[in-house]
Amino acid sequence: MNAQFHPDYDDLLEFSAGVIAPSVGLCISVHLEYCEQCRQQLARLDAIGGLMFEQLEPAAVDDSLLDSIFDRIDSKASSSAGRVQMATERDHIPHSVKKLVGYDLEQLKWRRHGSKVHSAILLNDNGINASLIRIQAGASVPQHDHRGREYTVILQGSFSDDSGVYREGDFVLRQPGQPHSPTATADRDCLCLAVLDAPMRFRNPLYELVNRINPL
Amino acid sequence: MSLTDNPPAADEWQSTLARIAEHQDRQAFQRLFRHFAPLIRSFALANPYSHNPGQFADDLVQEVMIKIWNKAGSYDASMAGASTWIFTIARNCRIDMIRKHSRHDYPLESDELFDIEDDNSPAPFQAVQQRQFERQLRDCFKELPSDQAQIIAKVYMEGKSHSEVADELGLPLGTVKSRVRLALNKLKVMVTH
Repeated sequence: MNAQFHPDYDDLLEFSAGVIAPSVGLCISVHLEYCEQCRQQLARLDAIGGLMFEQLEPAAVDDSLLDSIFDRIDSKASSSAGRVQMATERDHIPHSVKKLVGYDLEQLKWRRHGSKVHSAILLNDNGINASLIRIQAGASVPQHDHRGREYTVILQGSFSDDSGVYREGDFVLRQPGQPHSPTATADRDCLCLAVLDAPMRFRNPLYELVNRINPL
Repeated sequence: MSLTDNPPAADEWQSTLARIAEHQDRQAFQRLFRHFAPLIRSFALANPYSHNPGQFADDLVQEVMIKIWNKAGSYDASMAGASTWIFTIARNCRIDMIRKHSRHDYPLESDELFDIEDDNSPAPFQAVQQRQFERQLRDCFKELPSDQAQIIAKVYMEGKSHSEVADELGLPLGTVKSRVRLALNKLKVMVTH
């Protein structure tokens, strides 16, 4: 099934130019695995980079650099065995997430948020967290808001909130001031990659307290 | 658009890259080096974040040229011009080198973010569309107002985010984003279905 919700052009362009925050880039990379339309879009944006690149004013390069390059090629040639294939996977986990976590999601440090929602931090870059979030079939994340933006890509299953139903590969951006309470559909657990550029805020003060102790 | 008209023009570097991939042809590689190494160096120098720009630029030229040597076989001329392909390699290497130079530890290399695992190879008509797009882009770009072209150049070549460009030019972020969007419209970049 094709993804129905996509990153906007600004984010794709920053991705293409290589200037986007790494964790947001991770979300886009994961979405691209599911979305042919955005791959096509990225190819066009990359072509802008290619055109600007070929129009740069050339900067003089010392010929000795070519010799160093050939030296390095020669020294590597003898040792370049083929890449080792990794073990087969159990879940369908996107390529880039696999590189971060390996194949066994159970080995991550999962933290509980209530009995049916779990999260595990994949990476933290300058205070921006990328986490995996697992919502049990039919369960909800309590209603919350964000101080910053929240990017979510659905890896498995689907969830719904006031704004719609999101399925595998969908890229969802929530701006601050859009309180929501995602609920996994009843048929299977929902696994998402989520990036927050500021901590989340629960509406219920009790959760807020829990949140301070155990931030998602 | 007809699929038979205007077959993709043979890229002048396509055969050079093929010779490198198939025969490890060092003369072909040298030709490529003479043309592209000065562009890669210029691309490195355009980035303001390195402490020792000359060394950074030499390192980037080496990294990128070695990747080209190793990956020449994966170049697909039906999907991108050689300049675009080499730009994406230079972009990835530049990101990784800047991260290595900063103290920040980041576990993913750019190639892992950008090499999208894709089970279905693109349909042939998409390749034709893409090459037509690249040709038309060249003409459209000449028509781009300079305030828009300047922003695109800062983002792609200097490696600045929209908000960094906004700060530098003293413009509201919204203005930068709307100029980018106008530019993308003029360049006919938006894929529509």
